[in-house]
Amino acid sequence: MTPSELEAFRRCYPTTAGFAELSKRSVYGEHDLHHSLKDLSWFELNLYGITGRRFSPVQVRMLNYLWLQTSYADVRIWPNRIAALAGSARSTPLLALVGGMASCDAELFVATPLVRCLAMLRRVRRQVSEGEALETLLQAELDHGRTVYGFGRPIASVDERVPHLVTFLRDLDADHGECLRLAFRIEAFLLEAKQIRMNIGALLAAVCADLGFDEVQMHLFSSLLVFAGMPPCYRDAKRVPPGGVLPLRCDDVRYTGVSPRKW
Amino acid sequence: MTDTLETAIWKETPSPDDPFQASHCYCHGYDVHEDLLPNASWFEVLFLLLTGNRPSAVQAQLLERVAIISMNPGIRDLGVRAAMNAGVGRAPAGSVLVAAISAGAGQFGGAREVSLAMELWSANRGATSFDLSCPGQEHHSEWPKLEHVPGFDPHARCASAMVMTSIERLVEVSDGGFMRWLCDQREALEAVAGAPLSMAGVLAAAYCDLGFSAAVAEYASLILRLPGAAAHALEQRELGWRAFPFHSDVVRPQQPRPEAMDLPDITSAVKEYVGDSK
Repeated sequence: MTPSELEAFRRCYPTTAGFAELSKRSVYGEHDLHHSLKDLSWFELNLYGITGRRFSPVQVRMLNYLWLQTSYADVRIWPNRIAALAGSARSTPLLALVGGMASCDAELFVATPLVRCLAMLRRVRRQVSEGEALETLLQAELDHGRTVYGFGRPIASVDERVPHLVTFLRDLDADHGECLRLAFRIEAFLLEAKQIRMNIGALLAAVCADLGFDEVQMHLFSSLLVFAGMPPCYRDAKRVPPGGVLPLRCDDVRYTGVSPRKW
Repeated sequence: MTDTLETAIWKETPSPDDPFQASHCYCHGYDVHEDLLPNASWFEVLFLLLTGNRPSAVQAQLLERVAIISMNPGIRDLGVRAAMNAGVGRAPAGSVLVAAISAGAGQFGGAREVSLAMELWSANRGATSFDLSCPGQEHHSEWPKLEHVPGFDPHARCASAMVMTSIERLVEVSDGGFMRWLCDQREALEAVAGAPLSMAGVLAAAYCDLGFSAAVAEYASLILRLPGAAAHALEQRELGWRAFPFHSDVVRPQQPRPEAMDLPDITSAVKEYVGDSK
């Protein structure tokens, strides 16, 4: 930006987010928060904030379930463990949750796999609709050694969340999305080519892609995806003495560096 | 209400042809790039930035030693472990350090404990009998209730060799009196606390000697513990998640668990999805 363009923003910041007229009212997007939005659930309001759109009750149930079914309250899971370690250090609840949330902006889980998988599904959907063969596109990905995000899962080979989500969507008669079906076609190809299964990331991204999410919206939506697993782990850490979460002895660390030496 | 920021710390003079570009920055009156950059050390400038004063040679040396002690609380430290958890998942650097701070800020081994211990040292230095209760905790209800005396290690039987060595090395370059007092009174303080002195207690005395307020020391403690978090997180990122402890057999549910149910069978659904799209 030039100095004059910066100066224009200094004088006027155009916003579409909303506007708080303190002591009077609060506009959220294009709506009065205290009037026309007051009957929304917090989850629906958040979805509106993320996408600028309103969703049907069935779609809200689908999206709500995505957050619900990925919130595992197990201290061994990385974001939960961060919240628990912060609890063990007797940090504040908010600091603990923020630490766990920050770790979700990761390449191996939550944010990056979801965003990249959504981008891939949208791209492949377009290419297939333009007449390209899915198998050719996927083989090209593999030939270039690219990661097919959303497929393959650390720790366990079967992602139990996949059948639960499929069943949930079928019960709602909400399993007709193009990207959802594309995700299973990709899995079928990868199973044959690489013995790789889908993990929940592919299905989550597919559901969101079918609901019209773009990459930024996917990233924003992923922010609280595993959140509900963290508070129980923080509370759990508070139930044991400080330093009591998975304590390590000196000999629990295997040193592989140079031998002690003088400066 | 105003749109103007106020500061007594930092002055920027604009470039002649661009009011958004600074030509000179002054930190508490010193030109950062023309004067401090060639003439001052990192620890002198850090001291200046946080306190507004140019440190004496002894203060700069003391701060440097505090920084060396603080730079890596160790791979088993809770803040470093939080950072490694984020690092092994290949989170961005900023997320790793947020995780490090989330635990490293705590009042057990973290920055908060250092600041609380400073308050205890300030209240007890010069006293004939020691009172190690922390008054005013009810005013800090966002923090968990204290479960140990800040500055002391509730799990250790005696002060570690590292703690003892650190006291010796900090006393050498400390002219404020708190380090010497802590060194002389350690055993009496430990008797009252019912626990041995911890590194947080040692660092607290050093920050008192530096003339830092408890609030400034809390920030300094957080800042100075981050290099270790960064180094260990980077290392775990490279080693990968397969080499990172999962503690599979250690975590054991205490409450009754619901009966395990079979996973839904989605074979026919998947066949339909794959077949449908062909």
